Amino acid sequence: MEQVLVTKGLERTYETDGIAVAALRGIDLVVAEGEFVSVMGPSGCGKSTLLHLLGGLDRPSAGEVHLGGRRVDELSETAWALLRRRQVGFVFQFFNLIANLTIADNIELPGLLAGLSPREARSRRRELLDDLGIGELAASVPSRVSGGQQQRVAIARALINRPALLLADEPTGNLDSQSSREVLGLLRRHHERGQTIVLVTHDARVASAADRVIHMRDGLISEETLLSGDRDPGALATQMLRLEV
Amino acid sequence: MKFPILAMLASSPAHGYELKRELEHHFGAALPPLNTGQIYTSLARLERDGLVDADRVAQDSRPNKRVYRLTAQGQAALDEWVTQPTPGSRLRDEFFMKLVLAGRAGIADPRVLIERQRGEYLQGLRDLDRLSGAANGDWAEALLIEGAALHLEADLKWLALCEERLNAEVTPWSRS
Amino acid sequence: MARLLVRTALANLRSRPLQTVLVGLILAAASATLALAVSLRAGAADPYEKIARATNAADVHVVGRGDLAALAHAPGVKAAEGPFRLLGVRIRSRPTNYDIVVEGVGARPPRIDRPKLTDGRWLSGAPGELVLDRPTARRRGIHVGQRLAVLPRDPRTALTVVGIAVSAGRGPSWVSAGTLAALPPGNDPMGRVLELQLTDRGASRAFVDDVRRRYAPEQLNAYDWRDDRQEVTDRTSTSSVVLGSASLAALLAVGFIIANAIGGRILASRRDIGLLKAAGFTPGGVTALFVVENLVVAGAASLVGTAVGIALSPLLLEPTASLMGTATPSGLRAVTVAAGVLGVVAVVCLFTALPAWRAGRLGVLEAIALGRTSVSTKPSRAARVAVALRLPPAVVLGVKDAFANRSRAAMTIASLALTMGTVIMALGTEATYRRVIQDSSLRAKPYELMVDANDVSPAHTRSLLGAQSAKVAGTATVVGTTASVPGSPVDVWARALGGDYQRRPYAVRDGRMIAGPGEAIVGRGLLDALGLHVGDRLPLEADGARLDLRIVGRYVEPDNDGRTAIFDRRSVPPAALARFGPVQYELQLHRRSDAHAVQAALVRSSGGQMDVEVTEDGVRQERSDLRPVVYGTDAVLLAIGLVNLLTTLLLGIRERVRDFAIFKVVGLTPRQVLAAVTSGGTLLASIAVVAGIATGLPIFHALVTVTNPSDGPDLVTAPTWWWVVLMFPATLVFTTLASVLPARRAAAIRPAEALRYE
Repeated sequence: MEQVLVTKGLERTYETDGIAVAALRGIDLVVAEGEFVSVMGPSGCGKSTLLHLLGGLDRPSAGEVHLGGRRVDELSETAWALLRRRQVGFVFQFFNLIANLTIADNIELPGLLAGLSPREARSRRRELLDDLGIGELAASVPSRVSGGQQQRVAIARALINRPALLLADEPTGNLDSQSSREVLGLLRRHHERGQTIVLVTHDARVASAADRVIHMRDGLISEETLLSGDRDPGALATQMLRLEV
Repeated sequence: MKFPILAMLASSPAHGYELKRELEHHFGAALPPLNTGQIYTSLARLERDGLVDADRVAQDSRPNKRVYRLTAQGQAALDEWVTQPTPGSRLRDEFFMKLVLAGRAGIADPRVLIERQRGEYLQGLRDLDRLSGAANGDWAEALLIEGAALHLEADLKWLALCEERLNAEVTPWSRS
Repeated sequence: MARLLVRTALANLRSRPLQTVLVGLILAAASATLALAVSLRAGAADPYEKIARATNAADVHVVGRGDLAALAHAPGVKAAEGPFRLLGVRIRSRPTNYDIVVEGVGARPPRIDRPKLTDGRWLSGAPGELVLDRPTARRRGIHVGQRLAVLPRDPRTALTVVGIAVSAGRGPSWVSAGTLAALPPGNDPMGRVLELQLTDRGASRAFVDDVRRRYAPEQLNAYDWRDDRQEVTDRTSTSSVVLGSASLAALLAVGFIIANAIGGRILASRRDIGLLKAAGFTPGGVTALFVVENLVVAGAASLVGTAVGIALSPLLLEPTASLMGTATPSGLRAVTVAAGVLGVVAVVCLFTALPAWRAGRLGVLEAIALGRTSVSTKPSRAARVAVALRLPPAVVLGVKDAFANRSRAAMTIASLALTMGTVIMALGTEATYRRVIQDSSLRAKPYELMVDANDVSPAHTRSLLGAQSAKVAGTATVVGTTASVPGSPVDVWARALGGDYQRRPYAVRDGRMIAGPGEAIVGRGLLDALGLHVGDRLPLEADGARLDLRIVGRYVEPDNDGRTAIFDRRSVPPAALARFGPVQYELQLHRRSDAHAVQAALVRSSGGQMDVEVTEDGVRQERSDLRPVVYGTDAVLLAIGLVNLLTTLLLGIRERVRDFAIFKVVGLTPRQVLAAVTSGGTLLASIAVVAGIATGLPIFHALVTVTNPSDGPDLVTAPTWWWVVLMFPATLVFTTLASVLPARRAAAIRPAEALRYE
């Protein structure tokens, strides 16, 4: 199985007012194709920093990042931008849709940038929106659409170029439980179709949807849990569903 | 079993077998497998306490079956049960004790205990999620699963808290 | 509460250093422009009154050889000065000699019509000193310290320019009485001049008429101060309009710019306003906070800007004063300071308070919601066009951004259009001047050269002129004299034409050019003074001859108040004609002949005896005087427009840091971000150029027509098409300059930081 993402000794230190703060202190991570990995940890453990480094939104202080077999941690901004178009899709906690573009334009933008013809971009966009069940919102603007719907649009935007890697930073952080469930279901569906996902969250429910849960503390990986999704319910679940009368 | 039986009898009198069937119907797999004996034992106790009354109904080729109904006393008891708030479920007592004692006695690293338990909870959540996907739209079952998942979430949060305190405090049972 | 307001305001300002500095810069620029505009208007306003007050101008000048002393005590006279001797003096110069008039004065400057020194010093009493009148000095390019050779040549009678001064009207130059006595007598005996001030200034006309009634013109003639004022006004009318409209444009630009900078910020701060209200500020408090914030910036900026404006004002006021023939007023005046500081502060208050008040009255949630979505939801037409044109996505994004906030886009375009409009007007001015210089039929003087033969004999003159026949297409002769109209005190400057005058007719506005003897074309002033119209008869008495002419046309005559009449010399009996003044030759050149070359040739071949004037030089002079003002104003407006565009773009980027971060996440390269920012700015500026051209051309047309009702419509020339087309690539350069800083900031946004918080 191909390795979509590999990091070696990834470090990131911030300098603020002369004081060095180490956000990441050496992360070794391997994500194979089709894996769904979630990263959990207390606030300040560095999980968002890790995600930003994986997507080229920030530069590591030390260490290597390989994406699809190619070393990317030293790429220029331009090269990263080009890479991101095709290889990496991003979903954020605060949706981050462009306010003065319609839903349709928001989704098509990365496609157009990657070189899709307007017609191709439009057809892919329609496909994604229909799949999300919000096809009728195409002409609306983000401000007139609910949070849950916005996040689904953001996911569609991230997926229009069928990227090798989908990175999600607290995707349900700003959603109510119903919308969270819908978004999670969406991510799971795409994972079933083969999408590689790395997701950062503090919500255990969301994290448990992954195959692998990585727990971080103080800039390091502290533990890893492998979860099985197709076995019969274990003793804990069964027991918890027992009524005591 | 006392009050659920009283509540079922409140809608209409029934005999033991009917009560068993109704319980299974409402709660299905959530209940441990019931045998009729348990039901009858409970019914007998209720009759002794005066909360239910039995009427004998003659049957042709079978022993007489006893049809139970609520007494006035039973109705009063039921009303009180319904109106009074029900005490909540308790912490995972066993793990809590394990954590405190095993660490103190030095037979296990508390951190490892927590990690293992966390993995267990996460897999539990995963399993519950799978179950809820297979649920056939029965709202009672769905609520039960959701309730269990929320409990597990709370447990995970509590685990994170334990971990934090473990790191912050220098206690006799923390390994540095 | 007030303390809290000030502290909050200062904290807000300090938290946004770049924005504060930029807004401050704009307000300072606006203050400077306001100060300059006010100075300019003051400098251009009522030039005669200014110079009259500065020089204690005379109400009546009496000139002649008669008994002037008696008039000094005539009834109604408050004060008298003189009489002073007047003399016409010939100065030797290249390319051609010229005449000046000197007045012999005492050791101290005269009290009435006191010359105001602009350069150098007054006469010290030493012989050979000259204080030159400023129009002549400027025209001939003479500085203090220069020596002027007087003709006929005599080293003892050279004049040294020790100072330059202005006086009301067409003042003479000044020498000491002793120096004047030593000068060779000119062939233009002018006699002496007496300067009078009357107890009742309004009675000057009656006084003048009285003098003219009692004395023959050769003995004494009197001139009213109103003639002086007319002279000044005529001289300066075009310039006044140009200056007036330039300062008006500057004022408008200032208004737009402030509105854009401040209003835009308030609009963008609606969300902050909502949050402030949620925190407990009352609507009044919100308004007060914003006003205080902006006042602090405005106060500091306007002081700095006004100081700069006042410091720079001499650059504009000097050429203005030369243009107006007045003294350069001081830039530092109370009005200017008040306008620069209070004007800007007041406008800022207004533009802050109104929108802040309105925003403050919004409900908290409304404001936050509005603040988050201060964009229109419909895609702009321009964006749709951009998409249809299959422009790269970065450009489409830039276009959408430019119009995201409709009102701000509109204001930016309006203020830029104003700037472009003034550029178009400058180009139009250049084109018009160029055309007037090239096409003599548009001027009142339909000839390229005017030759005074002086002592050269007619035969010799004819041969010298004949030598230039290759370049000269035709020659007309003109002799002039002062004529009078029987029964009226009006003096007419009469000119009798001979030779080739039909070849290049005068530009006649009403009626037609004269076809032969007995017909005359006259200036407007004459028609007005005598109450005549084209077609009426004009009886003239000239040098003893009685002429009976019919007015067949009106032409534009800028000199002599338009009280002139031009007719065929055959209308005059030869005896009287001989008494007319010396013959002048009007030379019409072939197209594209070099007038200055002919001038040089004639002066050389006549050994410096002939005076040759190139008529277009006068127009060139006017143009070069006007240029600093026109281009100066344009440069200021362009600079302001640049800063304005820069700020709009920067503020826009500041507000949309998140959006730019998302662009980068989604895959826009830094270069594409640059392109997006630049294309937005370019689009706004391009629209502004089109709008500016569309409005600037008609306004220019209207301005010229209004100032010159008689010949405006004929003169006005639109700039050549390729200059106009050139404005577009120039705009591109302009917007690129303005976009550099904002685009770099946008490209430098770090997504990880920008997207961290809500």
